[in-house]
Formats: sequence, C-alpha cells, structure tokens
Amino acid sequence: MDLLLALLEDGVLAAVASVGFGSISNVPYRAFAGCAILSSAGHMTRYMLMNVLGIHILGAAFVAALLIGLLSVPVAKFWHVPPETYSFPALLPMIPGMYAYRTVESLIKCVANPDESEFVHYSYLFDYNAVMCVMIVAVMVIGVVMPVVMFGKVSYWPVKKDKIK
Amino acid sequence: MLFIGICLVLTLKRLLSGSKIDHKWYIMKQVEAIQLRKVNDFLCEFAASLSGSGATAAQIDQSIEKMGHVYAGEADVTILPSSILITLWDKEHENSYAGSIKMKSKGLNFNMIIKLCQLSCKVDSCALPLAEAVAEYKEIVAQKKMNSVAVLLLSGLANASFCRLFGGDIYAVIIVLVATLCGFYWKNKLHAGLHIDIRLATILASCISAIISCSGYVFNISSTPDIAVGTSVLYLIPGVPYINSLHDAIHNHHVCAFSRFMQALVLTMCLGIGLALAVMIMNIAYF
Repeated sequence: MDLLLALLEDGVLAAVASVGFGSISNVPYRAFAGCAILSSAGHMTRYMLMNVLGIHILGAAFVAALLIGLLSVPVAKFWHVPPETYSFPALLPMIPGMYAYRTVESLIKCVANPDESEFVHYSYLFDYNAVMCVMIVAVMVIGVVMPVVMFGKVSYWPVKKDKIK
Repeated sequence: MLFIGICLVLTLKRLLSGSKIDHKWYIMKQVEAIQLRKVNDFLCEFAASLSGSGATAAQIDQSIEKMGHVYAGEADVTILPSSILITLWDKEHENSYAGSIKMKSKGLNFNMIIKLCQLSCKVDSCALPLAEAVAEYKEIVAQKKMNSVAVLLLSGLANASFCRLFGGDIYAVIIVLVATLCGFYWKNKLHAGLHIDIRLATILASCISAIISCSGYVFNISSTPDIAVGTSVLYLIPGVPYINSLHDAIHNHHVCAFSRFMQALVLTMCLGIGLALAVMIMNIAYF
C-alpha cells in the first residue's frame, strides 16, 4: 500500500513538473494532458525500477525514456504533431538537474579548498557528477529517439489535407 | 547573383557567336532566378524561426528539404552555431542559389515548432503556393506566447513538485515555491523586459531564488533546508537544450550539438555562480 501511494505521489508530482517546465517552453494547452500522462508513466517506471528492483539510475532512465518514446508515437499520430512535442517535456522531470547542480557545486568546492586531499576529493565528485549527468541525458535521448527511428518516419508525420486546420 | 552572372555570360556568348538572342529563353531563366531567390529567402526565414524556437537540427533539416523539393528542386541545409546556410537547386540541378541567415533566439516555443512543422507538411502534401505559405508563416510567427502569469505559476508549482520528489518536507516545498516565483519573475523582467544578457539574468535569478530558499536555514523552519536550497534553482537548468544537443549528436549534427551543449553548460555554470553568491551573502554553512 505504501509503495502504491509513493508511486502515485511520484506520478502526480512528475506530471505537475512536466506541465510546469513545459509551459516555460510554450507547449500548447492541448498538449498538457499528453505531457502529463507520458511524464507520469516514465517517472513511475523509473521509480519502480530504482526503488523496487534496485536497477541503476542509468538503466532505469533508459527504460523510462523508452516507454515515453513508445507512448509518444501513437499520441503524436493522433494529434498530428511531432512526437518530440510530448516526449521532450515529459523527459524534463527526469533531467539530472541535481547531478548538473552538484557538478557546479563540486567545482566551487575545488576552488574554495586549496588543500590537496580535499581538492582531489572534490575533483572526483566533479568528474563523477559531470559524467553521470551527461550519461543520463544521453541514455534518455537514445531511449526516446529509438521508437521514432524504429517506427519509420513517424516523427515526420504525414498530414492529410482535410486534417489541417 | 552567381546565377544571374552565369545567365549574362551565356547571353554574351550567344551574342559573340553571332546567333540571335533567344528572348524567350532569357526571360524564362530570369524568372527562374527570381523564383529561386524568393524561395531561398523564405526558407532561410523559416529555418531561423524554427531554430530560434528550439527545434532540433533534424526537424529543421527535414522541413527545409521537403519545402525546397516542392518549390525548387533540392535544398541543402547547413546548420552552424550562429547562422544557417541554405543552397537551393533547380529541378534540373543546373543552377543554384545560396543564402544564409543569422540565428534569432526568441526563447523556447514548442507551439511555434509544431505549427511550422505542420506548415512544412502542408506544403509537401498539398503543394501549397508560395504566397499562401508565406502568409501562413507570418501568421504563425505573429502569434503570442502563453500568458506570462500562468507560466510563472506553473513553473513555481513544477519546481515545488521537484522539491517534494527529492524528499523535501512541506515547509521546504513552500519555500521553493516562493523562491521560484520570485526568481523566475526577475529572470523574465531582466531578460525579456530590460534586455539584459541571459547569462547575467540567470546569475541574478539564481542568486535571488537561493537567498529566499536560505530562509529554511536562517529561521530554522524546515527539517530539509539543504533540499530547499538545492532545488530552488533547478528551474534554471536548461533541460531542453541538453536534450536537443544529444538529439542533434545522434542525428550527426555534431557542430550544432556541441554549440547547444556549450550554451547549456554555460547557463548551468551561471546558475552555480548565483547559488554560490547567495550562500556567501547569507553566510550559511552550505558548501
């Protein structure tokens, strides 16, 4: 029961975050629902994989992004918009902001601590966080792009004359 | 210009060889040259708008190639960090016209990307006349963005959700909400209103948000003040540029990918500088 509640909370918060960060990128109102559903599905999957199955964040982020990519294809076809419109805002709550932020934090600590052992420690933290940040974004993008590549040129959807407003 | 020059040389060659000028042929070539130029100008504007709205290099490439195929013969697109080059060939692949345009950064706008992509598809599938396509393009570009107050509230809620996702308590969530609302408001005011450089605006917005989020430490009102400080600046992380850069790298647009990655990295650094300034000002033991 606790897990279910935690999972639900994770999904709802991810949906709010996706819509909020999507609004900064001027995602159209009609795409909000799609972004929220995709984001919830992705984030809940990642939560399950990391906290229940104990999978590493890289693997969990990849599977979650793959799911978002798979769901974005039919959603995009239905609304006649590029899949990226839904999948990119849905990925935003999974952007490793904390890793990016810790990278900068460790760099500041490196500069602030001239002592050799502390400097080496914070250099290690800087490298680790930077590598993790880049790797997580990379696997997320690969995961989200794979279904679009697999299902042909859906990303460049055909528009029928009668469906263009 | 090159094409018109070739036309003139060919005409002179005909004159020198003693043959009569084929007026019909000459006029036809002139009209073709003017048409190529008009199409190229439109495609350059179109590509700059797509790029400025945050479209991926693949989206720009595909849109321009499809429209170039309809209005001319073939379009070659080169996306550079600060400009876009388009070379347009006629159907016989004999004559070309090259043009370039500077990138215009107008802020992320997914709505515009969707509509411009739809327009390019409409051109491709319905062979829309150029004049109609230009009119529709102007209509799309003139559309206003989402209400700024709604964006402010939604982004505040989004960052507060982030704080909760990272394990912040209810007080930390409220602190982050207020910090984001203030920081985001000032970022927009400084960048969009006063036209201050985006990097400086990011440093100041990050500093404002972090100072407000330090209230958890100062007034001892939260059990997770560190999470409040850490997540209060996360709304400034350039998520879409990071995704776009990796997307471009996958699609072999490495120059564009590197440029976008560096821009995102610089903004992340600015965010960190703002946070460090706030911690120094507030004199808290955060680092």
